[in-house]
Amino acid sequence: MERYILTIDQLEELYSIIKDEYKLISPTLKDGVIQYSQNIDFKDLPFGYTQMESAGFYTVKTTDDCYFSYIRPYNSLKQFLRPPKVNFMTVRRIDNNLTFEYHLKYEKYAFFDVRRCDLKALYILDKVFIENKYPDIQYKTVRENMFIVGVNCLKASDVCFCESMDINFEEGYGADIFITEIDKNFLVEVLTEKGKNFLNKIKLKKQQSMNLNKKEEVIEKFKTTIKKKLNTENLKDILYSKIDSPYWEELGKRCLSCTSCTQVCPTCFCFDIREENSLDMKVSERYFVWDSCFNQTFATVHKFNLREKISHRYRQWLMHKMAYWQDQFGTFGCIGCGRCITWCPVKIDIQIETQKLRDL
Amino acid sequence: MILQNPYCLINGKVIKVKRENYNTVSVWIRSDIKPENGQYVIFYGFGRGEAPITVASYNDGISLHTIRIVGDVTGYFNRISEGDDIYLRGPYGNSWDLMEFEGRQIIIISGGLGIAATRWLMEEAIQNRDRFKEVISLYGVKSVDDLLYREEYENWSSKIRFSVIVQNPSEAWSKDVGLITDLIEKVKIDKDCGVFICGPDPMVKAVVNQLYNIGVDKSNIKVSLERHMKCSVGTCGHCMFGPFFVCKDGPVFRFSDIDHFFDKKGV
Repeated sequence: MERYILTIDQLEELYSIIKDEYKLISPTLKDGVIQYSQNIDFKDLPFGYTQMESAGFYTVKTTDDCYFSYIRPYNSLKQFLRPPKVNFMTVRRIDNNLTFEYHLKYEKYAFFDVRRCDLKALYILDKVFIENKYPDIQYKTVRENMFIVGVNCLKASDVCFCESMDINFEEGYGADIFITEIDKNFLVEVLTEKGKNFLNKIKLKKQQSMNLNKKEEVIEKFKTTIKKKLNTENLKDILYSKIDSPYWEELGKRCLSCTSCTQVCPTCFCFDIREENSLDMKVSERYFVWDSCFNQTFATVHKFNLREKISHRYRQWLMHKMAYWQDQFGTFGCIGCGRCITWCPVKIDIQIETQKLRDL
Repeated sequence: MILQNPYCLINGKVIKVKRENYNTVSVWIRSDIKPENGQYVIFYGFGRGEAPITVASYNDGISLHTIRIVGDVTGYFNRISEGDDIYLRGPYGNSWDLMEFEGRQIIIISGGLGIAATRWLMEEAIQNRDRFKEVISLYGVKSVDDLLYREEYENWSSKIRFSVIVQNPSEAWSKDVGLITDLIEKVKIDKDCGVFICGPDPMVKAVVNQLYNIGVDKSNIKVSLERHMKCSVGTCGHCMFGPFFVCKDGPVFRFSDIDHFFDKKGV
């Protein structure tokens, strides 16, 4: 593996080279939140800012420790790989015959600054949309044409618990290059051929061996800032045995079924298929739109809702993330990013609730 | 590699339409789909969307579908007539495996519209009648108005033991009145029989309990489940039932595999 040390100026150069070639998505501070956005100037990366996040609470403040001072943005990559609304098909009626036009619109995306939790989320979504008997063309095409710059976190927020959710800190999870900030310089590890080509375009010196130990130090130091822990040993079997627990009713009383958690969750993939028709009934546009297992009609069969209580829907969500997912795809559906905790209006904390359920 | 778009619809032709009762129609469709026994297809209604419909029978390019008119998409079938074009995709899901129980007693239990998913199975059992010790098919409905496939009863009864039970008493019905479980009580059931069930969840639950108490192993009971299979390719999440995607892991399940989740409300 090739490794380089970049100064902040060289990092900017790399950023602009990537931006020239791809539709670049990177974090920025906008509307009061740090979020992935398109076409952001290097100077508008949220360097020197950090989020304070806890259950139902979010604010951004300044800090001067380092450049990558913030944690993962509030939105995730699924926003771009599987946008909230996608027009996948147009149906036209001419006389009594239908014609179908299938759309495959995709961008050549690069993501700058993707944290390990979100990279793991992509790896999980790949299992849903690509490693399937019927791969999703749209997702697969975007995925195969994207460029990813991974970044090691320096500090966890109060909602982060990635370490508990099987995140491997040695693993690149499909990133093309991986950046670790060390003493205000940047160790760049090249993981793919695509990544190598980009690095070749700027003048760089190969790094000395001492920095590798420094990288381990940075990661170990990061791990000490993770306060949340979830015991996941035997979690699936334990949760399966708790499916009848009266505690779900308690959760159902608190949960508003607002779908906030499923929207910010980087692995929630459920969608609905909707039709939008022209008034003359000659054209029908068909869309994929994000759906949520918290929506009232989600599990409706013959107009009969199989999950009529909110407790049923919350159970479906938590059980899916923490247990069912393991049977379906061989991993947890949760990556411990804590977004659902931060954005829950009634402060339901999936880590606390899962831990409670296992301890009951 | 050129990927097949899983949402591509193909064209079919309506060969015949038959009104079964006040809310259900049967349609025979000629198309290029090649279904297996127990699978389903997705029908598309222009401007309305899609609905999963089981294949009730199939022969030489013509498939039979029996549809209850409930929603926007199925409402489309209220107005369909012979010669119409129809658009569909599939087939999806796994299939019944009758031959797993070769040489043994076969019991097919259908409730209401569930008979649409067991009709082809019954036909297969009749065709291969001599490969099974006995074939019993029991069918239960709420009221006499709900009965489907009435013109077939005589034929089926002459080849296998086929009985119908109606829950609500009616002057128009002179045979058995009661629940499907009452009908099962009248039958001598082998402990090693193979059972195939399709019907509403509460019926399935009652029948499985009854058979289990007689000594039938839950792994010898196959159930076809109904959930809202929307995308049918295992990605939209609507048909999820416990850890299963009914669209791709089912619709046919071995009961012993789903036992833990089946009687839990809201799973």
